[in-house]
Amino acid sequence: MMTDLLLMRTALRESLRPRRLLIATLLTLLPAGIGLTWRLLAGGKDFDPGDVYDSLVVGLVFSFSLTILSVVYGTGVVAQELEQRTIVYLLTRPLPRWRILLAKFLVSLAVVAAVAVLSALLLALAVFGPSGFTQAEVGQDLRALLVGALAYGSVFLLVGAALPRPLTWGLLLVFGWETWVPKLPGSFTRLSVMTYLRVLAAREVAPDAETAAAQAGDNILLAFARPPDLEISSQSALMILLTVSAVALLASLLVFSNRQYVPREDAE
Amino acid sequence: MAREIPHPPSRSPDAPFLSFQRVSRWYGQVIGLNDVSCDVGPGLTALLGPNGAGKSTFIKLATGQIRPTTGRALVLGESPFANARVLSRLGYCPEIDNFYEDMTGREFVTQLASMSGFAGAELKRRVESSIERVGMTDRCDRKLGGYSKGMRQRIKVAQAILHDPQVLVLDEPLNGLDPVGRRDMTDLMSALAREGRCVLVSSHILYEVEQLTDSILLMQRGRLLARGSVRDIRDLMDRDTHTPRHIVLRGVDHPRPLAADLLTVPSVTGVRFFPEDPGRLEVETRDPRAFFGALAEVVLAGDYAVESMESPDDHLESILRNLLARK
Repeated sequence: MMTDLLLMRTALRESLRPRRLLIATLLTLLPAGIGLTWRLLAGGKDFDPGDVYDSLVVGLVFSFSLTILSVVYGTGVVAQELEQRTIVYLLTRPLPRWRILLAKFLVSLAVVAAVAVLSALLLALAVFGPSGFTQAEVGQDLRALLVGALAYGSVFLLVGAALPRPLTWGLLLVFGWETWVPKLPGSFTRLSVMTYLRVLAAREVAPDAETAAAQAGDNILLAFARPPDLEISSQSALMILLTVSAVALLASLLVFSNRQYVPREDAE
Repeated sequence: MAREIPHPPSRSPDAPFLSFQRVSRWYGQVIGLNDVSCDVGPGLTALLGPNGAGKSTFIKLATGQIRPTTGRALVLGESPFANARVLSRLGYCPEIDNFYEDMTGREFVTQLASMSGFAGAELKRRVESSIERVGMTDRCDRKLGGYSKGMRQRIKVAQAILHDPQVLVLDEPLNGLDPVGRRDMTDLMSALAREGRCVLVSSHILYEVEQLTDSILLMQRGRLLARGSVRDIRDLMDRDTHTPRHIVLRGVDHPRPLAADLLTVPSVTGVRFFPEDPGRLEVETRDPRAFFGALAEVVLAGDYAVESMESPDDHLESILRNLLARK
C-alpha cells in the first residue's frame, strides 16, 4: 500500500509540473471565462443562462477540456516515463507492472476528473451568477464528466501503453474519430465515446432534430450539444461506457505487463 | 514490517549467476546482439567494448528490460523479464542521467526501496545504509535537479544496492566522476564483489576496467569477441607506445598549478590549456595506466577540485579492430 502511495505521490508531482499545470488551469478557466464574457456582453438581453450553459458545457467542457486533458494525462502515464527515460527505474523493480500502471493511472484520472468537474462548476457559476447558481442543473453533467474521465482516460492509457507517438494518435482520435464519427449516418455514432456521454448528460437543447440542425447552423457549439438521435437509454450508455473503460484498462495493464519499453535509439 | 519479497530463484551453487545461451537481439533490421553465449559467476566482471558494441543491449537483456529475439538470457537460472523473483535479487545502475528532478535523493531511493518490497523501519534502515555507503548522507535531502553528475551517479548506485542484490549490473558507473569519486566507486564495486556478489560493470575505457578486474567480456559489433584476462589486450596496447593518448579534465579550479604538478608525473608528456574554457585541461600521456594511478594522488595532495574526467580512448577501437582481424 505504501508503495502505491509513493508511486501516486510521484505521479501527482509529475502531473503538476508547470507545463501540464498551465494546460489544466487554462482548460479549467476557459469555459467560465467565455461564459462570463458572454453574460457581460449580453447585459441581460437575450441571455438565457440555461441555453448558454448547455452550449458551453457540451461544446467546451465535454468536447474540448475533457478530451484534451484525457489525451494529455492518459497517454502521458506511460509516455512521460518513456520521454524522461525514468521508466527503467520502475521496470527493474520486483513490483508487478500492472500495479505501477494502475497507481499512476488513478492519479491521472483524479486530476482529469477534478479539472473537468471544476471547469463545469465554474462555468455554471459564471453563467448563472452566484444567486442563480442553484438553478443550474449540473448534477447530470458532473456524473457524465466523471464517467467520461474514466472512459477517455482508459482508452488513452491504452493508446499510451501500446502505441508509439501516443499523443499524436490521441489527438487524431479526439479531433478525428470523436468529432466526425458521431456525425456519420446510420449507427456509426454508436462507435464514439462522446455519443454515450451526450446521452448521459442529455438535456433538451433542442426540441427536435430539425430545430437542432437549424440552430447548429447558427451556433457551432449547439451542433455538439445536439443529443444523438438514437434510442440509447441513460442506463445503457452508462453500462457501455463502464464496459469500454474496463476493457481498455485491462488491455492497458496487460500490454504494460508484457511490452518491452526500450526506445530504439537506446539500442546500440 | 516488510512486504513479502518473492522467494529467490533456486540457483544451484555451481550455476552461473548470469547465463546467455546463443542470445541474439534484433531491433527491426538492426542487430544489437549476435549469437552471444557466456556465463558470469561471482566477482567483478567488466563488459568492455567501444560505443555501439552491444554492451547496452547485453545489459538490457540481463536486467530484464528486453527479451532476446532468439536464445535464452538467464539470471539466477530464470528469465529476468518482468520476473519479480529475479528482480528482487538484481540491482541495476543505468547509464542514463535521468531522474525525477523534483525529488530529493532520499525520496528517490525511498520510493525504489518501497518498490523492492521494504517498508517501515526496514525500509528506513536500507535507505540510510545505501545512501551512507555511497557517501551521500549529508547531501541526500537536496533535490536531484541540483545534483552534480558525480552525486547523481552515487544516488543511482545507492538505489541499485539498497536491496542487497546477488547480481549487480552497473552501466558505465564511472562516467562523469572526478578522480576521487572514481576511486570511491571502484572501491565500492570491489567490496561488493568481494562479498560474493556477481558484479557486472560496463565500460568503453580499457584503463578504467583494468583497475577494477582482470575478468572481462570484450564486445565488438554485437558479438562477444573475447572473454577472460585483460592481459592480451594490455599487451597489444603496451606494444603501441607511439600513439599518445589524451585525457580531458573538466571543472579544474586551479588549472595552472595542477598542470605543473602533473608535468612532474613521469607518464605525462604534455598538458594543454583552453583559454575559452579555463577549467579544462587536456593531458597527453603514453602510459595511461600509470597516469591514472598518479592522478588521484596529485589531486589529493594539492587539494584540487576536478569535476570530471573523460578519456575518449579511441585507441580501444583500433585494438579491437586488430583483434577482430586476427580472429
